[in-house]
Amino acid sequence: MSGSMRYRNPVIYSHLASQYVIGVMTPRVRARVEALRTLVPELDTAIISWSEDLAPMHAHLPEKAPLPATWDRIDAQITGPATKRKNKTVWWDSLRFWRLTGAGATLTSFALALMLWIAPLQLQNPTSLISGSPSYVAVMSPSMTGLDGEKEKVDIRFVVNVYQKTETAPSQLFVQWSERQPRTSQASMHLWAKDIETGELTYVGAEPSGAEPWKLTKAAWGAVANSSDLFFTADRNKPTEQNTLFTGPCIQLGGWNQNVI
Amino acid sequence: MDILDFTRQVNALLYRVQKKDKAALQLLYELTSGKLLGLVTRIVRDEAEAEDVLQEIFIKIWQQAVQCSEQASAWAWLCVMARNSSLDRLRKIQQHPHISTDEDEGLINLLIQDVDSENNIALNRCLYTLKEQTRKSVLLSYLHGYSHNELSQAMSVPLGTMKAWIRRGLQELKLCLEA
Repeated sequence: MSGSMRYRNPVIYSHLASQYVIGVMTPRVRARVEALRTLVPELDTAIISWSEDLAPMHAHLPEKAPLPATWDRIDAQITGPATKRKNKTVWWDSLRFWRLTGAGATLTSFALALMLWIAPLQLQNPTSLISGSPSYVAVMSPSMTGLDGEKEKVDIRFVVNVYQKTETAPSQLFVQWSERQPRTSQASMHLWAKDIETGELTYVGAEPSGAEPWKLTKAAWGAVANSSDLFFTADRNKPTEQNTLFTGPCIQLGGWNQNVI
Repeated sequence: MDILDFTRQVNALLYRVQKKDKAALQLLYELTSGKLLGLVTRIVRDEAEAEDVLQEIFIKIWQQAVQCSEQASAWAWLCVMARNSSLDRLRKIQQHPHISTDEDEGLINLLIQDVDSENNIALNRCLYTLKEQTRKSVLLSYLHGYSHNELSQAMSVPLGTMKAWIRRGLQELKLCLEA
């Protein structure tokens, strides 16, 4: 049974719909179901049906009056330039930060991913010990500092390509710098990956020196594969505003013929 | 205001929000923010985080209102969006207080106080047809966002048992509501 046909089974789509509405799916699975419902009308209808059945509950449970400032912040965001929000969370969790970094960088990363599929990757030290195309790509920009009054502009400096292991070689990571803005500092950078589900930061490793390929251990591969974003820091310490050099979203590349489901 | 009037007003306001009517968004906020903040707080528990999530929700409503299907009621769509945003924030802050199963009894009592709405009577009648453990599991999962793992530990049952309780509970609830 083909992928999408499986989800037209009433038992399956009803189960998926109930799990989706009740909220026990991980973000990754939930995202897949949200993509799936656009392709499988039965699933979409089942999700709507479950939502309708359970929503009345919330209309009868205790309310909580929001603070007056909450509407003011919403109003400011939808009607004018984004106003500075009090950042109660760590700086890389700021909505404003990701709106600026993610929007332009994500569009650019998809364009670069398309280019990688069309034109074979040219490596300084080409080797047959990598698979044909990268499994993950990240588009890196300088870390934003001093959000107050700074001109906010997306500035892509380099791309990270991550290749899965082959029969004869381990997983590897390559950094390709922009031709227009070549690398200036040769100091090794340190790579961190932010988990897509938990937000936790995992240390991947230090950039090897010279022409050494950047080989990834199984754990390092797992950290990158499960990441939503990558951070390059100047030192081994966890990313902060002070030590973070570059940040960018990390996406998994699919095949042209791969089904969504 | 009964549930039917409430849902009609929410539908009408969301339709206007889809046309980028900002006044409608503010009216929608005034009508629903209390209920949505209650929903969010039951999951996230931290008041400051809950206010932040509420803000995110209404920004999303403004940006994504056109995604609400014509088949669905706006209130149901808002609830799903609010729950998903809350669960995402909960995972980010990675904290969950000790599970108190007494609270869901209080919530169930609140649910049956309003007897004016046909929908509400049906839902609560059906909730009471479930076995107690099953009902508690379903409600703690849906209202408070507890995962299968968290519930299985709190109620001292194997993970597989908890998943089966919730799956069976939802199936029975659905059959009862469709009857």
